[in-house]
Amino acid sequence: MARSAYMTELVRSVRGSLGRFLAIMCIVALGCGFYAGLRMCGPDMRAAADRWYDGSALWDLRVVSTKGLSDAQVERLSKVKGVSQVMASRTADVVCKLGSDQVAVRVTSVDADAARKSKATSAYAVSSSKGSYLNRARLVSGRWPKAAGECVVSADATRKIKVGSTVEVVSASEDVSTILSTTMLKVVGTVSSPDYPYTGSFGSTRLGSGTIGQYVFVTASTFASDYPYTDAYLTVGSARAAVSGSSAYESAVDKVKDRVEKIEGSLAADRLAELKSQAQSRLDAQVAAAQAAAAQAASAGASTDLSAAQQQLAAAQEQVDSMAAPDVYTLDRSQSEGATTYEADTERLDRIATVFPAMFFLVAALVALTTMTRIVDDDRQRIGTHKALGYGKGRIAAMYLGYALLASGLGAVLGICVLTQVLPRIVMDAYSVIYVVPTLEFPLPVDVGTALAAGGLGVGVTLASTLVAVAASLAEVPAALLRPRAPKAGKRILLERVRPLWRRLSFSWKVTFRNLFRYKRRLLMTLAGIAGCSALLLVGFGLHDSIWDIIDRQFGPIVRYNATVTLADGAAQADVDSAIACLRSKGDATGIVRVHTDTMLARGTGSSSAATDKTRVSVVVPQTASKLASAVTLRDRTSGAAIAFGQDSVVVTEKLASLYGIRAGDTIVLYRQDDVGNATGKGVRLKVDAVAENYVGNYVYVGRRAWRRAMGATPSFSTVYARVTGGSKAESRTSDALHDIAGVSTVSFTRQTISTYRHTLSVVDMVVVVLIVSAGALAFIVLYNLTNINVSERVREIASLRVLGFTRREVHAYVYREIAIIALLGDALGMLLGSWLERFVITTAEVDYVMFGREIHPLSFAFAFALAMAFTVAILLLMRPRLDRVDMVESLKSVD
Amino acid sequence: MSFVEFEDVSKVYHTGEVEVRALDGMSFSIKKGELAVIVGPSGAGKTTVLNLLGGMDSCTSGTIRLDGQLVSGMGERELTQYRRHDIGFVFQFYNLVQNLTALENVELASQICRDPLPAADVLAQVGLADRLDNFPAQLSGGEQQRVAIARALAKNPKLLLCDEPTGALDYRTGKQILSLLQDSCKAGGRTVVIVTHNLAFTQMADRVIHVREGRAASIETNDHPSDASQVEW
Repeated sequence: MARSAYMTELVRSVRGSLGRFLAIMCIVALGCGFYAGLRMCGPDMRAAADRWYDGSALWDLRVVSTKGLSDAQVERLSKVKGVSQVMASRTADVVCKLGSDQVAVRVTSVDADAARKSKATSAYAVSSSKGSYLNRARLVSGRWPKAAGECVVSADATRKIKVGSTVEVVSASEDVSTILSTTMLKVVGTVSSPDYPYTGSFGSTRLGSGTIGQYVFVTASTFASDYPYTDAYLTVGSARAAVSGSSAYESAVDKVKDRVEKIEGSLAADRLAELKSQAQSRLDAQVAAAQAAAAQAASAGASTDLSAAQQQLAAAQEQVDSMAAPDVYTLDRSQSEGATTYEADTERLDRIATVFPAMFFLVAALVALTTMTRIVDDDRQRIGTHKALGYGKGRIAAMYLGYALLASGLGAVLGICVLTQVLPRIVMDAYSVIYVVPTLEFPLPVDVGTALAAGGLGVGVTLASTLVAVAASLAEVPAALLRPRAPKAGKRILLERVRPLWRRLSFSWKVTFRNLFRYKRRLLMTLAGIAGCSALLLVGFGLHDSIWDIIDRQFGPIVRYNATVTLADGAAQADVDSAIACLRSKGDATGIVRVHTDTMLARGTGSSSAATDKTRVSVVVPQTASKLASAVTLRDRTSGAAIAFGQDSVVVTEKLASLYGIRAGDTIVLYRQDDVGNATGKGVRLKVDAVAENYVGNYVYVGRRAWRRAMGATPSFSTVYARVTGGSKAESRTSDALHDIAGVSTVSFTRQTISTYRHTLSVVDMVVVVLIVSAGALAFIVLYNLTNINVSERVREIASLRVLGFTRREVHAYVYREIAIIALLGDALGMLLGSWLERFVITTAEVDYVMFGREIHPLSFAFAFALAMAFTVAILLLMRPRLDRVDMVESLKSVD
Repeated sequence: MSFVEFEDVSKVYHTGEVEVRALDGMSFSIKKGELAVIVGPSGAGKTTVLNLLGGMDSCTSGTIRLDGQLVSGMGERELTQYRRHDIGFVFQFYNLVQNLTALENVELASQICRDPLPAADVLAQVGLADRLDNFPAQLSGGEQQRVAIARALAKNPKLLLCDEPTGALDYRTGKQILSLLQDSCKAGGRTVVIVTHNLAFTQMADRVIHVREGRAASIETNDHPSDASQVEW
């Protein structure tokens, strides 16, 4: 019986205060949902990638040899314990001509037969009867290549290539004919490969701009007949169950990696022996031929050339004998640019997820506290009656805790169910602009631990607030509870001391000010709610600013050149001169600067891991120091002051400096890198003279003399920066003309880079929308609740005012002025909170090679402030009927 | 010419499907400067008369006039102006704004009407000259009701309308409040209407309107009303 009476009461009280119940429910839903939803973004994205990697049999380990591999070594690798499958393939980076640009392209051989027979069972899985067919790309359009000279290209590249067109290979790091059997590749289809999830860059290369812009798959026959395997891809069966990138995955792979690394030396020796014996047999054949020729010559009586030929052969023999062993490396997915970029992005989301929801929980606590206080106050008599009837404190408190539990529990379930589906989906969709990882389908997985943590926090915060609210009333004796609570006494406020000012105020203003300080909890709740709302809005607009500033400030103000022409190492001076002449004549180019560029690895001087982790940097050495300024603006970001650059100068860009905490006067260490991007040598130490503003990439600008001192050599200055005028037409005209000049290796324009960035950064606009929507929801709940409480608490007062002859408008002003003032204050506070939060998000979300803009534009402050106020006004207008409905007869009723 | 006039006034409330006839042909009139008491048991229609006369509600049929002005048929906006300028209302439970001092509570009313009386003077009249700066919570019930009366008077209304003005007060204090109301009628020449269920109040009235079942059952005039201090209940 007691139980049913309890339930009846509970249901009645919910029905009797539906508005308040909904307010608690919604704010808890928002808090828990945001927490769980944001928390699930990272795991969901990792799960999506893992599903794709597993479904397409992506490699776990990759063995690379600088002098290739043969079937014998591949066979040995397959015998390593833990290795499930091995697939050998040939890969080469070449430069292709795509339109007016020359683009670095990665050409990889594919098992054409297995590829043709494979079948895409879904967007994320490709099945094949051949287990050793790895890295299975999904055919998007066209067909797989059958014959030499046919290729499939990436369907995901920002620079699309049409099926049916022909791609011309123009150069490579060595003679193209030693790599490929043909230089014309006919495009027969497009594919999406799990090895290239990130469309911003398909990897780095030593060619051209340093970034792979396209990947193509060809038949093995498209490679030159004696071009050996370059890579062996391995899968580790025991790692399959774990999510790629997780510690379980890494430990499973590392075990096998250790075993593979142990045989690296012997693989290299094997390979060397093979190469030597091949070379030896070739040489032997030559010797035999030479001897035969000599014998013939001798019989003819001419023996003069013999010693020269012998010398040549002896030199060749020496070469064979002194042949060095190849370098063999074992790489895992953490050394694959696409996979790591993706994983880093998901981890960034994890970090952001820890901060944002805190604000919602804080507001939820305040909303619950004010609302429950109000409910308990309304119920004084009932509490008194219960107490008088002999109910214990626990039983009465349970009533309110039950109410709070019901409201917050429903809210938590609702919020978690909805937002763990919606938020990760929006985030994944946003990221699909730059990643081609097939997104998960509904229903998205919900991690039980995360859901429980979110729900527990939301419900816990509400229950704690309720206990605080109930405790005070329960402490009173029943008799006191049965009397109406003495109205909260009016109090003088500090402002009244300022007599002249106070006297000038009208009553509604006086009441407004006194009320502001009378209800502190409500003040706090509203302040926090509105501040949260305007902060979210500011973060949204600020993010937009920071990110679009990258492009707006980098290209034009800082990077003043728009064309980069690289010449082959050791290009003749005449070629450089004709390239420059061509830039001038065809592209009306100005600001022509000859530089040496190099990709190196940099680190700081400390011993902490933050200082020793190396970062890839572009080193730029201008031929003439004074001319650098016409290609690149070196300036201090905060003061805008130009940085002087001379023969001995070393200037690093800001993001790089902040990564290692480098300031003017500190030292940076630069390393050369080997084929797979590992640092070699002891590195050179350079003293940094200044830190320059820069947003995209990490640069070290080194004066010519400083470079020679450090590296002991004068560079070749084989790169030319120039500013071509006349738009894209002039650019393609110039590019065509440049390609006809001997020695010109690549020509690229920033136009392409800019459009890639614009594409990539459109992700942010989606996030801005999400933030604005949630800000609106937050403002709505808080203001609805506040107005509701305000009105119900002051029904008598409002009714009396109406009886006294106050017009509707005057009553609105009387009640709303107070809310409007808090809203203004909260809005202003939100600007502070928002700038801080935006800074946090920016620094968390930044990647190592990009620095986001650091300032929020004044217009964004104005927008965020105005929008938060607009939300407030809209909600107050919406709540007006609630005020108008107050019946004047309420004023006649007794106080109960 | 009577000052207040109810002529065949009916008021029907619809609650759900039930039709409640709160007033059923109510007619009475009150002369200027009179102290009238409207008396009757609960449910007789007192509160409805109060609501209609106070401009808080409109009647279903009939005419209501105050000082020759037709009140029945006024729209919501006109009613607000009517309450603002013509009516001084005294509530049973005072209904003071807790966050304003006594003086400010009076000023709250006087600031919105045409020719108000000086707030401090009115408070002095009701005997609260030295409690001007006190908040309601610092005043006794009787003192609070005096502030409420001062608030009504300060508006300089045509009609002072009181709803059970002593209902929340003890006997002695109640009497003082009645005296104050009688004073403002006799000395101030103001028309005062008191709505009550307490028959004892009829002794001090110039005119007594007995209300029963939505009608004025009887109207008596009292040529020699007794002094409020003599009223016993």
